[in-house]
Amino acid sequence: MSRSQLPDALPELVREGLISAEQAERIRARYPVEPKEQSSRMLLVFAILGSLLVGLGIILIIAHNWDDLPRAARVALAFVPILLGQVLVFVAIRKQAGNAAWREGSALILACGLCACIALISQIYHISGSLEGYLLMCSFLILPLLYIPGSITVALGYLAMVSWYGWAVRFEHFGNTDRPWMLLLLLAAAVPFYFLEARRNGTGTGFWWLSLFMALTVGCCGMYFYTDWGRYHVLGITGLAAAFTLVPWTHRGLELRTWPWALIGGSTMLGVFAVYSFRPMWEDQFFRNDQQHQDWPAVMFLLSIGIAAYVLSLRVRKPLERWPYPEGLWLFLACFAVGSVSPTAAAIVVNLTLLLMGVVTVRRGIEADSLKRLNLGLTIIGITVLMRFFDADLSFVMRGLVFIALGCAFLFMNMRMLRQRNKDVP
Amino acid sequence: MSRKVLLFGFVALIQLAVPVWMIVGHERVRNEGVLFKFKTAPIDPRDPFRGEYVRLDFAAESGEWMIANGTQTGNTRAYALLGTDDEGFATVTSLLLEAPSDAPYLPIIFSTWGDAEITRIRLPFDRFYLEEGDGKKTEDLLTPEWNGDEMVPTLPSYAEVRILSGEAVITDLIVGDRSIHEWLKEVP
Repeated sequence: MSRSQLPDALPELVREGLISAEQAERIRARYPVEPKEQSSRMLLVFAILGSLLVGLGIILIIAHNWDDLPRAARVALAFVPILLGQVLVFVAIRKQAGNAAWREGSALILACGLCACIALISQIYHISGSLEGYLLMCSFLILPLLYIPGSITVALGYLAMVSWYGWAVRFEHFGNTDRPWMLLLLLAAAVPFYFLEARRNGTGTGFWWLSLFMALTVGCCGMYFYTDWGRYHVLGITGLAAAFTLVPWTHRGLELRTWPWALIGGSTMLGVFAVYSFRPMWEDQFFRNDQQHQDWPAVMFLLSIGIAAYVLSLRVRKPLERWPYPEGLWLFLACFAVGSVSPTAAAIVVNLTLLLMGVVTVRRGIEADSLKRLNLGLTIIGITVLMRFFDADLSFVMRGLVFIALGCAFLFMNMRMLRQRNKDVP
Repeated sequence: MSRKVLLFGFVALIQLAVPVWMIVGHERVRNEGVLFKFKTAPIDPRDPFRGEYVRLDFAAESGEWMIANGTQTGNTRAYALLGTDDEGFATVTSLLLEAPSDAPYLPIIFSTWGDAEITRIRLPFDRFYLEEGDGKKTEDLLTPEWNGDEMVPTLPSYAEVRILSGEAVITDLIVGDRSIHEWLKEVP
C-alpha cells in the first residue's frame, strides 16, 4: 500500500478492530496527505477525462465528413489533430517533465488524433479496409506513446485496442480461421512498459489498472488462438488461469499491485469448475470433434505455462498457501482424466473439488482474519450447492432447507469472526 | 537536445509518414489508375470511427468462375482479372491464384465449401463515404418505388473506380449520369 492510500484504509482498519480510533488519528498525523498531492491527483483525473473528451470530440467531428470541403483541404485537416497532439507531447517532455497530468493528457490527445487521422484518410479515399486492419495500424502508431512520454492511460487504450484487434481477426468475418499472430508482437511490445511501470509506480492505482488490462488482454490473447471449441480446450484456460493466480508470488517481498492477475485467474478457474460441475458438459455429444487436432499446440502451450508456473512457484509458495486456485489446475486435470472414462464420476469430482476450494478459502479466511475471504469461500460452497438445483430433482421443501442452511452458515461464520475480533481488542 | 526529445522527434516523423504514405499511394491510383465502372446498389450503414457511408453491393461480385486448386473450404484470397461488358461496365473475367503482370486485376476473397465452382466473391472496396445525413438520402434515391402493383425501377447506378497494380480507389458514385454529390444538392 502506498503512503497516499494509507488515510483511505484507516477507517476500515478501525472498523475491523485492528487499530483504535486514537491510533488512527496518530497515524494520520504522522503521514499527512499533502494538499498539493491531493490537488495534483485531481488535476490528473481531470486532465485524463478532459483529453479523452477532446480526443473523442475530434473523432466525432471528423465522422461528420465535410463533403463541401475540397479533398486537399480535408487531407490537410486530417493532420491537424496529430500535429496538435505532437506539440502537446513535445511540451510535456520539454517543459512539463514529471507532470503526470501533462504527460497523460497530451499522449491521450495524440493517440486520439492518430486514430482520427487514419479514419479521415479512409473516409476521403473511400478505403473500405477491415476493422482489424484499422485497429492494427492505430495500435502500431500509438505504441511509442507508451514509452515516450510514457502514458498509462494510452497503455490501457492500447491494450484494449489490441484485444479488439484479436477479436476482429478471429470473429469479424464468417468462416474465418485466421489466427491473430500480430497480436503476440503487439502484446510483447507492451511488456517492457509493464515492467518499467512496476518499477516506477508499482504500488499506485495506475499500476493496478494496468495489471487488470494486461491480465485481460493476455487471457483473451490465449483464447483467440483457438479455432474451435472442445472439452480439451478448457485445459489451456485452466493452465493460464493457474499461472495468473501465481503472479503475486513472482515478486515476493516486493510490494506491487498485481492483485488483478489473481482476481482474473481465480474467477476464471472458479467459472470453469462451475460450468463443468454439470454432467452434460462431460458428455461427448456436446462437443464437435472435427478439426480438434488443430488447436492442440495452443492448448498444450497454455497448459505448459500453468504447469511451469506452478512448479517454479513451489520454491516460494507452499501448496494451498493463501488460496487454493493454483491447485485447481491439477484437480481439473484429474477430473479430465476421470471424465474420459465416466462423465458422471467427473461431474462428482468437480463438485467435490469446488466444495474443497470453498472450504480451503473459508479456512484461509479464518486464519487471516479476513471477512472477504471467508465470505468468498462460503459463496463458492453456496453456489456449488445451488447449482445442483438445476440438475437434481429436489423438492421445494428440500430446496428451502438448503437455502436456510446456507443462510445460517453465512450468518454464523460472520458473527463468529466478528465476535472473535471484538474479544481480541483490549 | 535531450535523447527523449530526439526519440520523440523520430516517432513523430513516423506517425506523420504513415498517413502521408497512405495518401500518396491513393493519389497515385487516382491519377494513374485505369477507370472501371462497377454496377452497384447501395445501402446505408455507419462506421463508429469513420462516419456515414453507403455500402456498395456490386453486380461484378456475382457470377460463375472456376479456379485451379480452389476447392479448399473457408475464405481464400485470390486475384480477379478485370474486363468490361458490352455496356462498358466492369466484369470479373476469371479468378487466379497468382497476380497477373500484364492486365488490370484486383485482390479478392471468396468462400467455398469444397466446390470447384465459385459463385460469389468479395471485392476489396464496398464503401462510399458521405456527409452525415446523406447516407439515408442516397439509399432512398436508389430504392425502387411501387406505383400500385407496378415497381418503378430506379436509375442505374455505378461506382467509378481507378485501378492500378491491384490497388483501387473509388472516385465517385454515379446515379443515372450524374455524380451522387450533384443529386444530393437537390434533395432537401
